Amino acid sequence: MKLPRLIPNALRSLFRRPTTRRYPAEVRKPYAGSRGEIVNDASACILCGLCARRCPTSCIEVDKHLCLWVHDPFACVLCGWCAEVCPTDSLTQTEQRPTPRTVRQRTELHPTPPQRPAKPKDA
Amino acid sequence: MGRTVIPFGPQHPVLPEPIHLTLTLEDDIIVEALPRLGYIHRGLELLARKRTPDQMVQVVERVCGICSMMHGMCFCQALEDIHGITPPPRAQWLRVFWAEVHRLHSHLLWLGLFADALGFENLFMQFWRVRERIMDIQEATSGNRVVVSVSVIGGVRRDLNPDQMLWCRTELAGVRDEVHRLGKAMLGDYSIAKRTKGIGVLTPERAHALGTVGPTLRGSGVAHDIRMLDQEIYGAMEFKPCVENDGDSWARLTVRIRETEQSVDLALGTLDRLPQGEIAVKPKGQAEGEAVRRVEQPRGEALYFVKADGGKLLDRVRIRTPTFANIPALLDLLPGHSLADAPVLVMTIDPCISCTER
Repeated sequence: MKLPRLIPNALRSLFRRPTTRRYPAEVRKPYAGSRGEIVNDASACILCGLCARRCPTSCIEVDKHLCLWVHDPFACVLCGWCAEVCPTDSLTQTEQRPTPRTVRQRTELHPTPPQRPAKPKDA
Repeated sequence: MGRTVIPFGPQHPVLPEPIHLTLTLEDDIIVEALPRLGYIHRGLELLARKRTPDQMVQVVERVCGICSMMHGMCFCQALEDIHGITPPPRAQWLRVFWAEVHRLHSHLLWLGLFADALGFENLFMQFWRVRERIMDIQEATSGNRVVVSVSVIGGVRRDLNPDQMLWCRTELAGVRDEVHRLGKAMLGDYSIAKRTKGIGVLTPERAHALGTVGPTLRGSGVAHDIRMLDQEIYGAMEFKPCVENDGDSWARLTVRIRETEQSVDLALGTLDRLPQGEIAVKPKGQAEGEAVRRVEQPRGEALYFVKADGGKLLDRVRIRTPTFANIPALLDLLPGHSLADAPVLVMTIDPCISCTER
């Protein structure tokens, strides 16, 4: 008979904490270095376009003339390469995972491109 | 006697991914099985002509979610061969650490799915509970739970600090205990033995003739594992492939349970022997040449052929995945068995259809 052997296990399970989490109400803190959302600080962006060139899914578009930086979060795979190649560190990857959204919308930013230093006039 | 044709898949409770099998039955016994593939073809090989090699690493990682680490690693190794560079020793050992952790998570996923295919729901949940700890290790060390995405051409992207290594050691030791306990429960179960022992026997000669790879081949008594060729890392850890001689579903199950425990030991071994130093070197210039690389994935041997013509983009990337090699074996296994055994037999080759169709 194997049944009596189940009793200690059943009693243990009765008083043990559940393995799962009550997810939407209770969310685990992400680990340090977790790959989360891509955030761009428009004030530091110089519109160099390195992020758009490195992106494997082409989810970033940069237009220097229109002063436009566009990110499509639905096409992004959160690989984090754009943040790694950013020369001014304006592009960062947070530790928070993107939350579900009801509207499909791209992130559009209008950073100001850096002004070129005026050419020194010949004396 | 009249014949009945039963469509199996592409949507079937036992299949995580779509494959269609046309099963011809006589009474209740399968006499013929014909596959139809192509439900999730994405044309990833062709993307090589539209993405730079650096971007392509992220693309090949998405050929398959559950063996993404090995796909990325193999592609990077092939490009390193073309560039003529060798990644630093620490990077090579770190790749093996993540590869073994990845194998663990893939085998635990399969063990859960196999238990589910047999109707053993409780064991399914127990295996996936353990798998959750492995995915936590992956998230804490690489940033992602499944597609770890740590390989780059010339090394790895992330490093392990001493605190993480200590934590990984305790977690992996806990996983080993739990896998041992659950494996014992699975192999000691009367119903599982009844449904797997002596069913779907693949003889070593037949397995070899059909070009079978991975645990399916090792379950038939052929000691074939690409990891055996790596003398530097796996040789240092005295790696021996897990082999079973019966060739039936039970043997393939036992091989995978043993490999799961072995992977924990290998992952712990890499943490013990991890050398200090750099984690990446930068490739110089554009790649020109050809390379073929093989790697042992959880499902078997994967082969990468990469051809570069010195331009910005690659000329050709060809991926031969393990399930592609194992499907002929599956079609050979099915005839002669009853329809009720078909789901279990399909699961024993661990089909990964998104790999196969790329």
